[in-house]
Amino acid sequence: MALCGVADTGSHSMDKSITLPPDEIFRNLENAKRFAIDIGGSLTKLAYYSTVQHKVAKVRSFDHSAKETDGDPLYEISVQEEITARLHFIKFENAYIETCLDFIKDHLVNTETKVIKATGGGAHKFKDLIEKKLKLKVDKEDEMTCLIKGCNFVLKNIPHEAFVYAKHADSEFRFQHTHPDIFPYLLINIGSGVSIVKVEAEDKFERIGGSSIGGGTFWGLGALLTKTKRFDELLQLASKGQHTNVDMLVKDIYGGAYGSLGLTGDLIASSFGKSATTDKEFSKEDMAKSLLHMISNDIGQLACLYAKLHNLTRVYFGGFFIRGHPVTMHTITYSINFFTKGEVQALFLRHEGYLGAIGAFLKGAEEDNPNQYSWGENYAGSSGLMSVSPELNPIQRARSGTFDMLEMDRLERQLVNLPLLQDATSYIPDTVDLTEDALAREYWLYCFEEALDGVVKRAIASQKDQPEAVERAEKFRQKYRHKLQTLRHQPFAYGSLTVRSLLDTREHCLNEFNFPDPYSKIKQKENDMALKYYLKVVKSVEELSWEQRQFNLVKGLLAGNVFDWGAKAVSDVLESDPEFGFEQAKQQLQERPWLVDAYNQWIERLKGPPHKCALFFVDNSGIDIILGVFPFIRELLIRGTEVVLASNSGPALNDVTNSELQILTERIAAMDPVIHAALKEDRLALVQNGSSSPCLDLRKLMLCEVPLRLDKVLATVVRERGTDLVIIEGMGRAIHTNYYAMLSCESLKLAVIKNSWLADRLGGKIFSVVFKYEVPSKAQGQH
Amino acid sequence: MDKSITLPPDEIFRNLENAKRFAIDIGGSLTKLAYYSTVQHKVAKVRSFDHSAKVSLQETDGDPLYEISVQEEITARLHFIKFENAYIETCLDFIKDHLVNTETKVIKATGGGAHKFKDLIEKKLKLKVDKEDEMTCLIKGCNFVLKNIPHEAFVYAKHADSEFRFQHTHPDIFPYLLINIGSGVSIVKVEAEDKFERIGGSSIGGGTFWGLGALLTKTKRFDELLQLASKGQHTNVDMLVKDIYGGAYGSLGLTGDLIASSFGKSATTDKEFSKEDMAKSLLHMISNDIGQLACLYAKLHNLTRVYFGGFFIRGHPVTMHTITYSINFFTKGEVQALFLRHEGYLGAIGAFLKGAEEDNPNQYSWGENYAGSSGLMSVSPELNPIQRARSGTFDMLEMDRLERQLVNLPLLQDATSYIPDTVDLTEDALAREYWLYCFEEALDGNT
Repeated sequence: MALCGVADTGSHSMDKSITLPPDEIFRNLENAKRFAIDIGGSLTKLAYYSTVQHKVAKVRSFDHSAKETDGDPLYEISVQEEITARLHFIKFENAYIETCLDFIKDHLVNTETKVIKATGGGAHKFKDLIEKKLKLKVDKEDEMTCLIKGCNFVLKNIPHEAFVYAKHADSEFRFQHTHPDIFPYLLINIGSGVSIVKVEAEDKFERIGGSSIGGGTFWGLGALLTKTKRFDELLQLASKGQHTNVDMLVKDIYGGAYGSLGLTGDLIASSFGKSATTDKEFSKEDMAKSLLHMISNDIGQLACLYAKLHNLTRVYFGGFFIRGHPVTMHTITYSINFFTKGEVQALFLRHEGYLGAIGAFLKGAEEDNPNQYSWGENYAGSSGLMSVSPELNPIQRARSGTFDMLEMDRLERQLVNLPLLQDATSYIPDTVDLTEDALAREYWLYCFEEALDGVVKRAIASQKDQPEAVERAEKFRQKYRHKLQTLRHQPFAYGSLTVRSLLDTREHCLNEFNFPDPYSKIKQKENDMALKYYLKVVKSVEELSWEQRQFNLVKGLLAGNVFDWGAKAVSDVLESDPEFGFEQAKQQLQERPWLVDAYNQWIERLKGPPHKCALFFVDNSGIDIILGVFPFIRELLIRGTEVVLASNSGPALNDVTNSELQILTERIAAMDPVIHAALKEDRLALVQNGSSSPCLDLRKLMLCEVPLRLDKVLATVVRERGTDLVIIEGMGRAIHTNYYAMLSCESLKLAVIKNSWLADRLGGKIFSVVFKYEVPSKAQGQH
Repeated sequence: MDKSITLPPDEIFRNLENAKRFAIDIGGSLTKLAYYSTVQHKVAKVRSFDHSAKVSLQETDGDPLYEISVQEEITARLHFIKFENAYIETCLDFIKDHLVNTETKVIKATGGGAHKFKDLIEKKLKLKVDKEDEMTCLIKGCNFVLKNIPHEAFVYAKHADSEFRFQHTHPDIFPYLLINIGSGVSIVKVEAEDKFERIGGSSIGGGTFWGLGALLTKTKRFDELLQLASKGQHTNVDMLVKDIYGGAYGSLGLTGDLIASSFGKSATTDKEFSKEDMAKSLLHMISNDIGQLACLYAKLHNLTRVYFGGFFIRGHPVTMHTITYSINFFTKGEVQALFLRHEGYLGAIGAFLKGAEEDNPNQYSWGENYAGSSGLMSVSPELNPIQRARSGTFDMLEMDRLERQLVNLPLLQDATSYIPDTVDLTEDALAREYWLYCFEEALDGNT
């Protein structure tokens, strides 16, 4: 990269000559294509579209037909360059605008760009500066249109975008699950004043009301009353004050509640009512608090009345009055609860500050139809919620508050949901929400931090030939550790914290530093080794009686799943004892009855007619897929059941990828006539699931029909083959996610708990077995 | 404010010796006293002579047709007196000294101050204080004036020929919305004589104007704050739409002069703001907010008659103007802000009626006694500061009970739109000028 400014100067001054840490902030600027800028009263938000060159790991089969050389690896691994699209959003204080523009000018290589879309109140103030510095034509866009466009985009594209704020709850932030139909909603934008906008469709909105009592009033009156000129400081004052010293309460007038009118004694009868008649001095804190209550309550009441008048229940709040301030989110939430008696919830947005910039960008990009793609938040490149919180860590804030970032990756496939989900809208992939479960959060953050050394080692080992891999791996370590630390303090930084999001964040960070597939070599080695045992395993199973065979196949499947380099306990054993074999793994397994044991029901079912088609979400490479999954599906195929194997599109840990699986399947087919015939007759099919995660999200992301984060191809396959059995394998897919997923057909969820803490939590020991077989009840939802 | 002030009793607590039923409404700064009394009147009676006695062959030419005599008649009258809380002790002493009728055992009391002054009243008057619910009294009083006093409600239009446009009494006064702006704001929906509900409210009310105003301007008196506000320029303190966008925000229908953010300019500039400008900005902020809430509640409940009352409004053209402006803005003229001439007495009237319920006062008709009533705006701070010092202290309303129930002439084509008077002199300045002159001229004479 050409950009190599001093990374961290430690300079927190507003000095225009500040040295920007370019790699960290204006990333991928050299390929930036489309610019948009939203200049508010104090913050500037810049957006651009860029392409990112990634290293991706590819596997390619050798031409084995020539001659079988025994020592040769099964397939070739190569690292290739792939270009993907990414949206960058950067937020910084207006004080830095000139420095930033200079920086952009210096690093912008692409010269096709002629125009920059601009919105926000400051757009016309800085127009000349921008045009002079960047030599781009400033194209002004309507502020409200941009705001709404941005709001629609984040609500549709970013999971856990909206949240409810509850100050005294276990988890302050309760994230809302994305709903396919976001309209109609009310947006209350609290800037200097208040705008109340009803949004009915993508391009249909109306400002139905507003108020002059807004953030500017809090700021302006607050400044006059307290001589404090900074907005943040005013909020800080307010958070320490006692409004009851300044406000006249119902009990101050009536000596208690005014019962017949339903007014409690503590209700504010008159804001600042006490300062009307007493001569005493009031503290700054108390006045600021009283002012905050006055304004928040007023806005809350107006919001509630407009919502009622227009019959709307989803009410989002944004604007600088709200932005990342727990104090105002709390008072607004309180007010909405009070006025609607809990019927309407105040909703806030994680990326609220970016709405205008996103909208302006989209206006410019409309010809590209960005909505046709799916977008995913890149955890590695995004700052996360509340990185600017004044309360959490003032020192940290001085730095990270200056620049805040959001990056989104374009997914090249459109995602749909699994048509077999019983209720797509209520489906929640994750089993445990770590933002709400403090103990589990504590454990998993610790666990991921513990495992970090191992991941770094493996990353370096995967690129032995590249000496700078050590340095990159170190950068990865720093970045991921920093993310974990952030999440320790702000578990809500990226929406609901889950084991899945922790895993995904790690993958994003690895990719960031060009470690596309740290396990590629291990997978290759293990696949190679396992293939040699395939026929032996198949043969040994064939000799058994039907009952014994079925049990052995299930045990094999489970034993295979013990081999998982992602789980710490197993990686310990495997690293110290490479001879740890398949048979030993079987012995390690818990004896029946298992922790969750529906084996008998499964066997009874197998005595009946064969399934029409089984969709199998496979897990690990090597022993798992080759010696566990294949013998198992071989039996299904023989029974007359069609099988679709769904594997990851991209690498994640040691999970088998679709391209690896294709090679493995060919090799097995070459040895095994049953598999060969099934492939040839299309009774065995391979599909990719659209994901690069060890977990599985069956939820809707983009398309409105169903929430399964799966390739469209898969969805079609499922429908056409009449899938009546879904098998989900592994801790990531069947325990951390989907454990409670309700499917409309029979399902098997199986995993070996390879983590003693989790096993303990589920009431078992390490290597406990979960074998969950579920049949949807005819009358759904009766239990 | 001397407690030893000499009251001009004949002028204020009239007919006290026959006073029968007391009610008192003690607000934050004003006390309203109500009592029922009987008045001995001289009435002129005419009586025909008995012409039938002597067979009237000869008409006695010099005899008048009938006889005129003056007799005493006793009629009922309601008295309402309003004075500042500072005078309460003096007034109670005075009442005690002049109260002859000793049948009265109880005084009905309402208002926020009722429990504060309870002991004082009981001690001074030797009457038991019987507390009545404030809101119930307010609504009862409101229903009473709307039904019984012609031209009770009016629309305020600052720049019109006649500032006050009185509404003709409508037989069906329900439903209506009453926005009571005291320290805070209560929004009450009234659907029938005894059916009302506080459907909303706000803590941003008169107390907020007063309290914040005092903090910002160091001016402690409410009237003075209003005076300051009436001289200020809110645009120096408020951020307007044009301050942000350089003009109107046309696509959203926002004009350039619209206030985008109250006090928005004081957030970022370091300059000093004048007391007048801040007071004006505060007044606009509060009036607009109340206007908007009133309009939203009116819409939600499908109501078009919206009355405003409370000390924030009471006789203050400045606040009546800003509230009227706000209502016009938010309802685009669909709803009119209505004010009441006797708004300050509603609580006292209601409390009195509660006590008098056994007498069924609604069965009678009541007429405002112009001689004994102070009239609207006698407390206006703008009209005549000297006059105010005196009449602002004591304000009176008297109502005579008419012994007959009055009905419409059934032959009227449309009784509801019927207006007896041909010319409204409040609106016709020329005619008013003439007739006032004319009546003054005629005063000396005996025509």
